Amino acid sequence: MRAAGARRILAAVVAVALVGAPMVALAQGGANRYLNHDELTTALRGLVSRHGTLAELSSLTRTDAGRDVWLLTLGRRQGGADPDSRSALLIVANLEANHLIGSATALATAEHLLTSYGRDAGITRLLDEHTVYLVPRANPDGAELVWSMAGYEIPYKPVASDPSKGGMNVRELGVDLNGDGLVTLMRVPDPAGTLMADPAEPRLMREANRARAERGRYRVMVEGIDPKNVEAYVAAGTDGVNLNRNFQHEYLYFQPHVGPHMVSEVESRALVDFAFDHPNIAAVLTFSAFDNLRTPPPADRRVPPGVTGNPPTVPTNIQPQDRPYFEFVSTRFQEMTSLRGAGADNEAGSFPQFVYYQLGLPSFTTPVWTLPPPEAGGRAGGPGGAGGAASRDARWLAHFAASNIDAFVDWTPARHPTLGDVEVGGFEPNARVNPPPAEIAALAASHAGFAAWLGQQLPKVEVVETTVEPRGEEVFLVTATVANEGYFPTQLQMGGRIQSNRPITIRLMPSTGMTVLSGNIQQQIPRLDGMGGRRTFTWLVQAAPGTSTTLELFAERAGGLMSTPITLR
Amino acid sequence: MTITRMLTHILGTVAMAAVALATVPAPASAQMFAQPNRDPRVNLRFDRYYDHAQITTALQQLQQAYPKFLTLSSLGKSVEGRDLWIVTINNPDTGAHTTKAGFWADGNIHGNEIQGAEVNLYLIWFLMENYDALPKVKTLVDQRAFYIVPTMNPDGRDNFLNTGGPSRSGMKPIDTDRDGRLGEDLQDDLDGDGEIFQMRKHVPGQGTHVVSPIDPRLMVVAPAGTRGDYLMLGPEARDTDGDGRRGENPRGGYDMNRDFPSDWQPPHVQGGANRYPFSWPETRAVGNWLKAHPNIAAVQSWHNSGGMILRGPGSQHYKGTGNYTNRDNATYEYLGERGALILPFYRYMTVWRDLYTVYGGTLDWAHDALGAVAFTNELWSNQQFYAQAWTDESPIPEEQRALFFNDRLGMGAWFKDWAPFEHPDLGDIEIGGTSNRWYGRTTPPFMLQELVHRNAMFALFHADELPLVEWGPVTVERIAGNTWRVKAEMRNTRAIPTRIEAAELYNTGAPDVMTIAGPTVQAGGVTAGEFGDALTMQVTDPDRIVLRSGIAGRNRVSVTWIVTGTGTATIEYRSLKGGTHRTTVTLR
Repeated sequence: MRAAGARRILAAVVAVALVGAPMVALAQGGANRYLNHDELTTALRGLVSRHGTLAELSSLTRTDAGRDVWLLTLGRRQGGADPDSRSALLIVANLEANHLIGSATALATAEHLLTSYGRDAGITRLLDEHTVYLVPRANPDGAELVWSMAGYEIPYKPVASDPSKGGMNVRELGVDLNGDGLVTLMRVPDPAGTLMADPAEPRLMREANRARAERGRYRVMVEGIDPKNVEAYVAAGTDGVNLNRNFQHEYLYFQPHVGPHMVSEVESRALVDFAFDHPNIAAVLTFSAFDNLRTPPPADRRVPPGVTGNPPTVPTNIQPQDRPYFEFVSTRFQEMTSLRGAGADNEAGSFPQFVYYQLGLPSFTTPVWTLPPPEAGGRAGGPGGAGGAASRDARWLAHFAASNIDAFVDWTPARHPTLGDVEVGGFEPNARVNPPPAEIAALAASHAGFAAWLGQQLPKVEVVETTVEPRGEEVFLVTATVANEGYFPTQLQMGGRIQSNRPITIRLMPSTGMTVLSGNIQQQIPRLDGMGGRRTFTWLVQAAPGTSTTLELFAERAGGLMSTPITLR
Repeated sequence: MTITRMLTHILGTVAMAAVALATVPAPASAQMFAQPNRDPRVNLRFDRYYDHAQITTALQQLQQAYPKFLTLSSLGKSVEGRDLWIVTINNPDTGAHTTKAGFWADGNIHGNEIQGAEVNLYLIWFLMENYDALPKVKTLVDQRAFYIVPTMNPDGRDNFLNTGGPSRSGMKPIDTDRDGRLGEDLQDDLDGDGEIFQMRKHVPGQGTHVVSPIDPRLMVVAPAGTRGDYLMLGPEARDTDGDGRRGENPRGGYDMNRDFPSDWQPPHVQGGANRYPFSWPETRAVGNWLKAHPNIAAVQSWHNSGGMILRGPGSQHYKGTGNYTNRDNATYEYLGERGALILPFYRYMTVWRDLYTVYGGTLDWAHDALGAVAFTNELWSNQQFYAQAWTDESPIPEEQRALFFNDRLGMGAWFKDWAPFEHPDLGDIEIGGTSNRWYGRTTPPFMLQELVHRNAMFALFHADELPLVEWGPVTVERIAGNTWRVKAEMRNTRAIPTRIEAAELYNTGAPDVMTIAGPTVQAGGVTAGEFGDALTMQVTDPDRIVLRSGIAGRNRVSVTWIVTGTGTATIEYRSLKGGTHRTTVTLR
């Protein structure tokens, strides 16, 4: 099986052009290839036209190149129901330019939810009582490079100032020296080089260990690159931007590919504004390079290197009371997808981190597809590591071999204009980012199932009981019990710490001739636990028997504004 | 005066001014500063404050009087739709403004810190009026580009000038009382006297405050264990949203000087911050301009008050050290310590160490990302009323100081005597107290002229110390046959380096380069050796020597090339802040 790298995608583009009916497979419910922006737009419009009462397509913003960042809003609208008032799950995908499996999974999730409405009781309730916002491709300009710069592995959004190089800074880009359509690596024979072919896996290069009488023979660099350009000066903020490094929490100032400053890009700004402008969002799922689902976030997370300037008041860890929620959701994810693996590397400046640390919301992220975890114990002395466990690259090779995926270009001689004889080879671009198209459907289905489950865990606060009890002439004791029947609390500990939620507010609305003897018309509580967490409020009021009024309940991220009629008798 | 009438009045003034300029011949050369017995060409006064419309008029007058040097343009619009004016001062005869080291000045980002706009107006006016008369002024205008934004917050400024209302912030309504409604419970000039004063209610034996025995206009907290006769009810306001609080949700409530993208922190860490940096139209417009003009090497912001020449960093956690580098500190100290001499009552200080911690302020972004030397002056100090330090021996008690100045220097202008008022919610109350608008942070008119001049002169000192480069010796020496040693020296005659160390550390902006074209370059590098007879070779691209540290203040850099060829060699020095300079030598 061919990997989902550049060769496969190029082939797909040609095939589509010949067949001319790119949407057929998707419309039938099976995603089997990756979609460029126009195809994704067509697919989304198709979904909306088939499920118009449940789905709405709008544009979050327009990119520098004029592409829409699409937002799909899923949820019941009949009878004037307003999806923006109900507690909502936000799903964001394809922040990293080449993470196409993320957008494919997001699209499959939308399709799964829409086609299951009316058939699956849980999903029907999800779309009736909640809302799902879906941004299937947060980085359309970057994603398009997979096609327009086919053969390169580019996780960055292009920078407008350098369109001739696909917006990438020149030192990032190589040249296809050997004409195979791919830009991989080249190894340059060099007595001063520190690398050698790994005896256990000669396709991989590793540092020679001089203490073990090994000798370095090669330098390795991007295929076709001119070493002069590698040394050329690149000013901070002028290279391609990885959108998933452009957010506010633990932003890596002036590092490569983070943008000129935090939230510098129209796409990241639109996402952050949308999140703040929709205080009904109660949880966020991101399909991105990072992962806190295959493995829950570590209990004692270390601040990533390069993060500076934060005072001790900036949280660096999942709060203790929030941790069990992350662990539970991770467990359910592993059950539903059968996926396990190592957690995130360094999520500094990422969107999922922003969501938890600066919006205070449950924030989950998974790359959908990545390297399976090493076998228990690891193989001592395996290839790739100098005497240690197998390196990630070696595990990738083993994984590709086991899956019958052809994703490594064997080293072959080539001629470099200034360096002379070199060898070209290495992993096919994007092969370690996206699975082969044949694997999309199964992965997308299991993740769509998880997303649907996650949506059903949102907090949902209601008035579950009211009582009116006479306490003498014209005096009544009114009680109202409010309960959260969802799984998540209305506010995580982090949300409380950073004051990101307005309190749950309940008001006994004024009515002619009614006086609240107990003083406060309005009462507030900061949060309510999930799984039936409840609280009873009381008012002592004076009014003529038969007086009617309403109870108004406001739960920002757990149902919005709700009213309950009360008659005093 | 109603707003409509006032606008008519202002527009009338604009029209008249234009007519006057068109018909009255201007003096051949304005020399009012050197010869103060003459009138300036544009007759601006600096013993008064200008609202946005008046600033607009003044800038248009200046632009019409000095069209060769002044360009007036708008960076964008404020929240309420006012233009964010920027004045570019440049002499086109000496090159485009983008080729010169740029000096940026902004003011009044905090709406109630108004003097900055007057300093900026004065700076523009002074440079223009004295260009012909004072050679130092002419040199500055000819060598530098000035970018001056008189006010960054015209909305807050006008709100403060027209009502004395709380307007550190911009005027976008936000939900400061967290009830889901925006700007619904504002402060309100109830008695219609044009300014928001304090409210008190007489409740004998039921209150928290009593009339001071020192002065019946002063209110003091009732002694412990006793009850007072008055309740202090805060600024003039009603409870329009029925939540039992008055004026708790004014428009605004945010801080635009916490909206810059260096060392930025969210609102739970840094009060006044917003969702992300550059989130307000005013700061975004300014940020875009600054990003687009990498020649800007100095950033000066005017605030008030306290008498400070502030520099970064804003936080003790900045880069894990709480300090800029030693090399950059030396530059700041040189300017700051001399600035304190130009500005009596002002102290040269570091924000976090000497004032308070600021995340996301202008200073750190200007320093880190723009590679500019940045100061924030806190204009004016009440200490300036009284030329000696206030001590216990002073004949006036500390509590009475403001009233003493009000009575003896202000002739009563800065205090409103308590007057009865029928409040719709609170019944019989009194309104009065110290003017928040004209006393405290605002310089009185008779001292404003000195303030704007001294601070403008500090700005020109800073502008004069921007990097200014010129060729040192450029020599050609035959090694053998047609192989030559070409040595070129570039000098920076001013105190500020062409590239501050922060720019080098954080890779912001392009580094300085020195190139040679013409002959074949065999080797090149920075000149080295005790007698300048060696070179530190740059292996790749020896025809383009990269000077990552630029040229230090009052220092020089020399580059040596070994070349072969005949004829001439063209040597070019290119620097974002030092400009582009070219020379040609003959190989012989």
